Amino acid sequence: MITKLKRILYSRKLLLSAFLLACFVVAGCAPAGITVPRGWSGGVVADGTLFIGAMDGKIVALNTTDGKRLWEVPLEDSVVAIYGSPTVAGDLVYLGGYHSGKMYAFAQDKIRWVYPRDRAFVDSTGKIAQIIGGAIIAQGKVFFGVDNGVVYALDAMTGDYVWEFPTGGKIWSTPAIFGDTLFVGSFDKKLYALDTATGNERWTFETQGAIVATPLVHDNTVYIGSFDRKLYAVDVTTGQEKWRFLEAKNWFWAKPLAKDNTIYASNLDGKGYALDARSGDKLVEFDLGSPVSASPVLVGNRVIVATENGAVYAIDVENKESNKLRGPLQTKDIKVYAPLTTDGVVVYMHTSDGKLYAFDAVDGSELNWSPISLKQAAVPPPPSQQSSGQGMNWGSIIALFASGIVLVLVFQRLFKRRGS
Amino acid sequence: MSIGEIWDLIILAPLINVVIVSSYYLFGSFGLTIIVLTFIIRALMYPLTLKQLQVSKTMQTIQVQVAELRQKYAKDKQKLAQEQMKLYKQSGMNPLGCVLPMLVQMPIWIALYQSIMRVLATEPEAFLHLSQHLYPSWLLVFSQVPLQSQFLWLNLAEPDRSLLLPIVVGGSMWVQQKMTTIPSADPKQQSQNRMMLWMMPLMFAFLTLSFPSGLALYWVASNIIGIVMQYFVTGWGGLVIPGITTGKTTSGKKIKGQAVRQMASPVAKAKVAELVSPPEEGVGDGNGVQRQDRGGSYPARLGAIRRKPGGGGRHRRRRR
Repeated sequence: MITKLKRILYSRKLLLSAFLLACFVVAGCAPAGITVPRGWSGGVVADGTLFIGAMDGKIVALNTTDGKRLWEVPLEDSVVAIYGSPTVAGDLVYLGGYHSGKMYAFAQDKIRWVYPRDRAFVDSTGKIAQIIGGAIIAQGKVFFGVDNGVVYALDAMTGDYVWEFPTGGKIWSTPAIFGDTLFVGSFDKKLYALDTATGNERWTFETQGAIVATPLVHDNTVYIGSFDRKLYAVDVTTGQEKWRFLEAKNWFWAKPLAKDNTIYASNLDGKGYALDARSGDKLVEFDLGSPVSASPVLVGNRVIVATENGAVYAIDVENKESNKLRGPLQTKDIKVYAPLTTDGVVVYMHTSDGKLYAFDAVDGSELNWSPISLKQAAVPPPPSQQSSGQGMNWGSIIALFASGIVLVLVFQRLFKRRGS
Repeated sequence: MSIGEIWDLIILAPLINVVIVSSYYLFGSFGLTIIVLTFIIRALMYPLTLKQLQVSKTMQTIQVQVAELRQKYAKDKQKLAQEQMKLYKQSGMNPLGCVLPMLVQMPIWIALYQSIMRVLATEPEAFLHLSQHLYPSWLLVFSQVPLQSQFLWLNLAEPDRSLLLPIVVGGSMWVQQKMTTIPSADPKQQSQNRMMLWMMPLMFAFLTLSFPSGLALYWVASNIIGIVMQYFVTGWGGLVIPGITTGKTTSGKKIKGQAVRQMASPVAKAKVAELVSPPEEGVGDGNGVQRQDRGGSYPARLGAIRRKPGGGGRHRRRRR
């Protein structure tokens, strides 16, 4: 019996099959969870037009009434992922490109200016530094942070350089402004308060984790969520901490929202928290069932929150009760990362498959033109359908099989020696 | 539960959390963490590696008997195959032992690659997904990411364009491969050996150009550990560096005894010179001197062709 078993174990075909099977299993596991940068741009509505970054690298202007495309412009010849939401000021729309590492200003369907003019933002090694956060416009300047850790201020009309301020880490956060102070969070765990005119540092507030969330300024206080699982309230003038909320179980990624002295902060632990703006005391906790990375919006007296699985909740600011407006999306692999957008009545939700959903904030019913696909060019499929991940993952799979072949050769050699 | 979720649960998530915590205690250096992680993985795989090395060593020691069989059954291939099979079984060899450590390491490479892409915040979606892989009870892991991507001259999230790392990866792999190469009298086998000797190092050097250097750092550390382990089990093997590896051996008494028995055969005697100094290998000094010491010591009466004066003496003296 044992001899028979040994013979089976020594069987070349069996071993080779087992090995190849192992290679396939391992290769199958390889792409799981590795993703391609595709973007999660939110939108902005101005004069009945929704401006949004599509996943095929275009800025798209849509008529909110019928969902018709008014115009679209690709950022570059090749597909550029867009993470930041567009910002509108006057007749210009501002948007940052991820792969291109540039800030763009559009006037209707024409590019007004691009910065940097010749090439792209770069990091200390000369590699392109991406733009992930959005821009904010004030005092005739456009402010934004770049992955190389630098905050830039440009002339909003011409795109001319005004000042820059280096931080100690990457910047993925969209800045916020209060008066003449700019607030921006960095991966170096600090919240920076900068003079909007000169870029000089006014104060810094250090947390214990990286900051990706956009700061919220409300009632002379800056509210900022951090990767240390805490939400901080900081005085806008002095940078002194007022309180901190400690009960969350994961990162704060989404921007908080304020209404009537209540701060609504959602967390990647799948919960939403309503906190007293003055004391930081927890008023209510909402179980949303899935992580929340998309910043919520306020529509009338309702805070609209979308979870990653696409479920949408409306929290009544009067009685602090939540009700589910929409169930999760049908396909498990399609997620909601992009900040929600509203025109005051309708909520717009950009999903990871490139579709735009438009639904009523009161009852969750979709508009008759919803959903529409924002992307027209082919973009990488969702992670679960990918045979490889970020660009070079094709290489990793090929490498895996190549090394598998080499191992088979080694194996065969050993057996050849036995059989020759 | 999908295969991807199982993978995440049992391999990726533990690796990510351990890497982050280790990095905290290793001065926040992700590079140092990868090196320490390699040590731990290689230590855990020690039994498998030992098996691999033993197979390699046994292969070396029974070469003479194989040659003897080849000569004896030159015209009867079937009988030759049977006898060889018998010989391998008698030697307790399992060729699977050679490839198992590499197979086991493949999921580790993949998991390490995925971890690097996440913990260094190389792309937004992957970094966002990282939050769902962190252990809620390990408070430290949440605030430590993203990890430091700079290590020496390397950005661990990016391939090393300076070519230095690919050279080190290829070089260290070549040395390791060379140490394990089994000499053969068969010209076909020799050419296959030569191909194997260069193919793997070149392939990995090439891969280093496109993979994050964090993964390449793992390969380098793993190769160096492998070389050291190999040295202590089989000596320098097929590697010959004039003035350094000449005559060095770490073989034990048992192997020596085996070799003595093998060499007692006149056929084997005749075949030995051919086996141990194949000119095509281009690694000997022309007379096969160094090759004799690869799998173990040979009888004193073969000393003239076995080693240079003094070669391997240190170990022999130690045994005495």
